[in-house]
Amino acid sequence: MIKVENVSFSYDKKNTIISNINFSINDGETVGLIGANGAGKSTILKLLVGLELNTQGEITIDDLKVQKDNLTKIRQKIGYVFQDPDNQLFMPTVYEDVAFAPKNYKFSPEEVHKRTIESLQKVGIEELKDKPIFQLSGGQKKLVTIATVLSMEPDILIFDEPTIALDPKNRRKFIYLVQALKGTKIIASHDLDLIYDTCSKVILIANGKIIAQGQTKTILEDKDLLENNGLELPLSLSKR
Amino acid sequence: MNKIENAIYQIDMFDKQINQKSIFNQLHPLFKLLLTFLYLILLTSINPYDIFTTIAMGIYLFIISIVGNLPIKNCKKQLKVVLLLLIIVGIANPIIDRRVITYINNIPITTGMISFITLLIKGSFALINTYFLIATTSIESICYALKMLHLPNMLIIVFMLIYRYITVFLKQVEDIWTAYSMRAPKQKGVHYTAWKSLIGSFMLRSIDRAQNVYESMELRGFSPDMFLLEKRKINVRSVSYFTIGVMLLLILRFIPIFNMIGYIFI
Repeated sequence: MIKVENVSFSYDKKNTIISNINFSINDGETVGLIGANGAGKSTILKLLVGLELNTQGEITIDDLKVQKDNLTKIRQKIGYVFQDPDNQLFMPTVYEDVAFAPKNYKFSPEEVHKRTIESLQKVGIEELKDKPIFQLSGGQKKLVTIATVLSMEPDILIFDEPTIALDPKNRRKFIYLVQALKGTKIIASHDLDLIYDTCSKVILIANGKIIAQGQTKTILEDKDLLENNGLELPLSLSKR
Repeated sequence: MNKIENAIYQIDMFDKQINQKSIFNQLHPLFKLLLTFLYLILLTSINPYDIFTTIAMGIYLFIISIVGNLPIKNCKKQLKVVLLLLIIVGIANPIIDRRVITYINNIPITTGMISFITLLIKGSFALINTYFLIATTSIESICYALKMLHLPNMLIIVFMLIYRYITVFLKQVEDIWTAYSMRAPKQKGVHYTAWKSLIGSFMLRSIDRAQNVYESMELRGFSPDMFLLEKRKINVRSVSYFTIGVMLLLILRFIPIFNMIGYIFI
């Protein structure tokens, strides 16, 4: 379970990026973190994995407080898929990048291989395993980034703007993949159709504050609430 | 393919070669590194006028190339660059050092010419020898060997990360270059007025990208010691390779093979 209690964050004392937020996410839930550009979605995600630590308040992941001493354990539980795949992929080939995390966690070579192949199979890109990263398309890179975190077998998956730069086919593929994956999932996006298709719960952020949280349907069908916070109804709903 | 793409492609080719299961790829990295160092030391210690011993050192490279299936032509581009540099460095030798030592078809051969040719050969051999090391040994393995030689951890980690970052760095250069050339189509190269902002933008983007890549590594459990702790076994094959390699190098360096062959025919 993820618990965020009275959390505020700022890079300097003058500008508060995140202001006194509270929410909790139960095991197995898929939660959408929505908000306009610059609302603070990515910062909240970074706080959850301890990439930013100078916070007020408390964040706990399965009863482990997010603080320096616990980061190794926490990060083993969480798979974080970056917004830009080029920030995440740096090894020469797909296989080596996917094997990077299990190797780091010092699994045996057999286990590393097993996890790597299984992760590639889960996202349906086993045939790419020997390909150099720089030869992949944008959609393929995105799938590889997912495989790189699946090889850690995390309990929680975090996706930061996952459908940016994906074509419709790859976007649909991604949605099916998220629906098929087990565990807790947090998706930060302003692609509200994606959120509508994948999440059971939504947290709406604006200017570093939580404006609303609740059932996906309730929030995403509230036109005024969305428009007041720089968003629009999902396309699938606005056509009705 | 532009120059930057070509450079990325070259790095990829190295990585592919490293992953092949040839004899040399499976040898212990420490022995390969030590032999490379020994070769460089012995090569540089040769008298600049001793052209025959210098050429004899090429026999070692020839053998490695054949046994390890490592075509020397793969590094011809790098060789061109090194040779150009060496020509610039050594071009003064034949002009300054004009002592005639012999004549070939009435053409005087000077010590300056000999030392210049020796310099070119030495530089080429040094590059080919280093190419053989990096074409058969991953950067992690080289770092592991450096660790065994007790180099400071911090230096080794920086060395390893820089190598991993080269591709990311080249992609950044390519992106900025593409963005520039799309909006300056008639210009050859970068106009001097744009250099300042291009370099500034490149630096900022590089720092940002490096930060993100490192965060991604951290989130996947990266610890600086990871590659250095992975133990590699010293096997009989590696020890044999090292022993034979040392013996061969010492023979080539200290026994005048070409003279001995010459005596046979006299």
